[in-house]
Amino acid sequence: MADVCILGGGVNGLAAAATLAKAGRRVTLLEARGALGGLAAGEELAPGLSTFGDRLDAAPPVGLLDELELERHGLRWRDDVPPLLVADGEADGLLVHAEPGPMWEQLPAAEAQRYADWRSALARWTSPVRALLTERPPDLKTRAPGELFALAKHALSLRRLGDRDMHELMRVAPMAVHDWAHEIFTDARLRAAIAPRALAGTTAGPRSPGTCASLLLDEALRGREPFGGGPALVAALTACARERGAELRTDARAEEILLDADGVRGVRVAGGETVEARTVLSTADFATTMLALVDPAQLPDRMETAARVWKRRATTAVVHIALEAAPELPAAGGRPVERVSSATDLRAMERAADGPKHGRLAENSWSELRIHRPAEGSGAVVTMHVHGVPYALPEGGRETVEERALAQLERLSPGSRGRVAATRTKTPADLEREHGLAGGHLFHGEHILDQLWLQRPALSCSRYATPISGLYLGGGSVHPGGALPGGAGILAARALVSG
Amino acid sequence: MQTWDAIVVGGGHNGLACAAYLAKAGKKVLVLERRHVLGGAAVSEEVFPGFTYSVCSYVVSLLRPWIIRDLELARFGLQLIPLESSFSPSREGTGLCRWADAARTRDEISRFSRNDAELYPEFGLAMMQMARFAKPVIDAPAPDPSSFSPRDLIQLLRLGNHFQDTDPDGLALRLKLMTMSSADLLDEWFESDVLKAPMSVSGIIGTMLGVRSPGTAYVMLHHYMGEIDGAFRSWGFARGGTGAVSCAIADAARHFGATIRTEAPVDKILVSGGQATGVVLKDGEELRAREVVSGCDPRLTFLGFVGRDHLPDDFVQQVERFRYRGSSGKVNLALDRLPSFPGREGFEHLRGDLAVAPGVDYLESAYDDAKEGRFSKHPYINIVFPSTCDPSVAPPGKHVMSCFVQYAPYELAEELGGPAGWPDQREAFGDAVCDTVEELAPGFKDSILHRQVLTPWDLEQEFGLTEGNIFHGELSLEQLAFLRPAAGWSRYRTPVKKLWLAGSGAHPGGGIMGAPGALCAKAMLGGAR
Repeated sequence: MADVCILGGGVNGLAAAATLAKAGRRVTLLEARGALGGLAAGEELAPGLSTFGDRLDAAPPVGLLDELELERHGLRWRDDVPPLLVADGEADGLLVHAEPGPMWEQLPAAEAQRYADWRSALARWTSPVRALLTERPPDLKTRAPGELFALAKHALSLRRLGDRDMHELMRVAPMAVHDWAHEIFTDARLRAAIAPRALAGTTAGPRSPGTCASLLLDEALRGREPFGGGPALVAALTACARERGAELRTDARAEEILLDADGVRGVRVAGGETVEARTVLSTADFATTMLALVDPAQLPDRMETAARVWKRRATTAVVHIALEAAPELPAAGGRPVERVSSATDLRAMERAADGPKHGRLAENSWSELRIHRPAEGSGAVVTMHVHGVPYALPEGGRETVEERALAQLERLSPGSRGRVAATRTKTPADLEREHGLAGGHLFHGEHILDQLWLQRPALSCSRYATPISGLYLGGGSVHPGGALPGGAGILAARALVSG
Repeated sequence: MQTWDAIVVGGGHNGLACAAYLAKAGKKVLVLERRHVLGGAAVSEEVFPGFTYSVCSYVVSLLRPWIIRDLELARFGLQLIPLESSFSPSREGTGLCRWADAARTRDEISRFSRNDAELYPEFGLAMMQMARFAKPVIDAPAPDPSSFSPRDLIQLLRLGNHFQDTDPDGLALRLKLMTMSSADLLDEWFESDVLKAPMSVSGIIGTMLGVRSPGTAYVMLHHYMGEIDGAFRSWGFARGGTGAVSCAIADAARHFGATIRTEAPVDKILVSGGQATGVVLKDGEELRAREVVSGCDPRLTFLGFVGRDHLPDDFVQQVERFRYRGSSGKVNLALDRLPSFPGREGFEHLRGDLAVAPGVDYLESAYDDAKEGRFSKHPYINIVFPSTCDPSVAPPGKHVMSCFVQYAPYELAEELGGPAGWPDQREAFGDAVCDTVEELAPGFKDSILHRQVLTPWDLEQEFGLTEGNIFHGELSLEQLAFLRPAAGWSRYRTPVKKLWLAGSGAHPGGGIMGAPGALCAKAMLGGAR
């Protein structure tokens, strides 16, 4: 009998397994697929050309994975943040760096200064917010002196920002990224450059209020990326969890979380076996956990409603393209580029969002690209997130999306079509099938103002424990969400240990 | 030269309410109104002989009961006639009508969904409970979370305490209301589009947002604050049009000793040594006062009347970025007869309001047009026929029809000429509205005797509403409470000493509420606190 049974062997599941095993728990992790890693697992498209997973990056929340000492398992962290190229063709690209330095060569001085000021405001604001957001969300109803003291401490550190910054932070958080970008910048590309992180995992367009909250959350929490991307992170986490004694099982699909009068008693695995455990930590999304894995008759009051209304409307398809040679991007002026966003103004993003909003494929998509080369001199793998793609597609939808991706790449890098070695396109429905993601939503539910932090996935479950005794949530459906792998798993494991 | 205790710039309902409270406290007050009629956007005018329009705002919902009592408005002629129903027609079928009578409403809704019919009263109850929580917020100045003053801290602690005293479901709903879109919130409760659509629109009134935009659920809640006494009780017409509200407040102010001048357009607010000292009228006349109050919106007040030279730079920056983005227009019609909607006999369903909101997707598409800088081809229209309840506004047998129309974005697309292109689009906009109604009520267009079309451009030109925003600035989360109209300046004071803001651009915002004006007066009378 295990102390804890973890459902799902993605980054969150593995991080939780390692954390719990270190705390002395006997851990059994069940992964449905044949390999660990979930969305961060790589797959070979062509000989020597493997993806870094279906995500665009694998940057865990800052500091949260430190205690796992993954460096001991061979992981190396990058110190640089690859700049983002904003371009939709061969010319007029803007290479946006997190550090404002290189922006002075590309922008008029006044605009570069505004960008520098904006970056330093973000840096000022995010440090007190970070402390709050790298912990379990607070209990609003607590009367416990310890909890109240912690809350007061956070409130005080926010106030230390001073009137002006604090007002500004509170003003901006519920805003639309379109409005904020227009307040600050005049360059359409720069406005568009700050939007992708604000829109990641939402049906919202840039004009939707609350998109700034997603952006601030991401700015506050995004940590360094590992060399080798998702697969390297998965390998290190796997080694770490195993070293600490966690049992990691693949090809073990959880079919039901078994309950009795006292709460969780175990997990039934496909094939009929039962893994007995008084505690289950599910890294499956909220809807799948509550609606597919728990007997509906045993769900507590309102839990079914909460899970049913959990918003998970997909807007993104994943297209992997293996190229025989690394793509040249003239818009970057010869500089090496790993990240590209094809939206050169906010209007394009707004229009793309209008498609899925009305339940149809957007007439024009925009894409984010991640380019990596497995080795010096080798070909390259381009992973694209094509936005404006709903769950329900007409016949031939997958082909349409793939064709858009190839055309997009061809616009950015003429001739790339002729160098395609292999492609792999996953619509939201494919992602649902492959990864068990309800609605095919890459982040386990939309990142939208009412589904963040305290409300992710519902007030009653946002502190990782659920109203079902012994059942914890530790996937992208809980804070800090699906864009920052590992964070939810670690925080859930900590919540479980602290009881 | 006479020195007034206070001069109020703008004779809208808030400016008048402020003046009435000041006069009641014994102050010598002068109100200056640019137009020939009082009321600002709460105004009744006989635009065509025999037909009196509530030209801009058209229903009375949130007028604070304590203001009605304090100023004895009933004594000064205020009569509110409750709206009796809310009808949303559809192209197919007979549409949905919600009645003051709950049983009748249940029957109507259950034609579409039994489930919705059962949940509808429950939802109303939940929202009313939420409204009870929000009510103290709109009846007092907004606390500032960055402040260390005991006053703010106590207010904040009370708010925190309130959270702890609420049951978990109520707490969850409260958080959702603050963050969700109105359509998403309704999706959690109901299944029938015909019910959700007309309910969701109350979240977008006056904003450049769609029913699927987060933050709109909170605005929807405002709608329920007007329904505290039960179904449709305190939503109503003022007899004689919404101008009658302003006139009653003006009469109260005069009764308490205030002086009111119309056709007295202010050119400048005089500032000397960082302190307001009076105003100059357009004709050059100078008037002195110990304190100056503006009932106009923040941009007109600070950048128009005061001038940036008298203001700190960071305040100017905040005033400049305060968003208006008017998104609505108004079409006022004189009718030969009431329109007839297929499947609905008689005219009982026209004694309330009528919402052209046949579906959530329809509304969201209307917003899509506006995002591209066009008025909606198929807009959301909120219609009332005040003449069905108030014979004073139309000749016998004839009717007035007031159409509030969204979206009509102030910022028209460049190819349409931007905001200044509106005069050329005015009639096309009016046609789109009439055509949309015609589709629902065939033969309607033949009944039109006169038509007045007000675009956001007209609202700015004629009523001084910046960018045509009916609420003196969008009611969006980042422009509410302690951020309205600028961080640190939500308590009606301004960076100019002795200058106060009493319009809808101050907390708690727009609508015929009277709260900003009255709370401003109270802050002034509270003195040096």
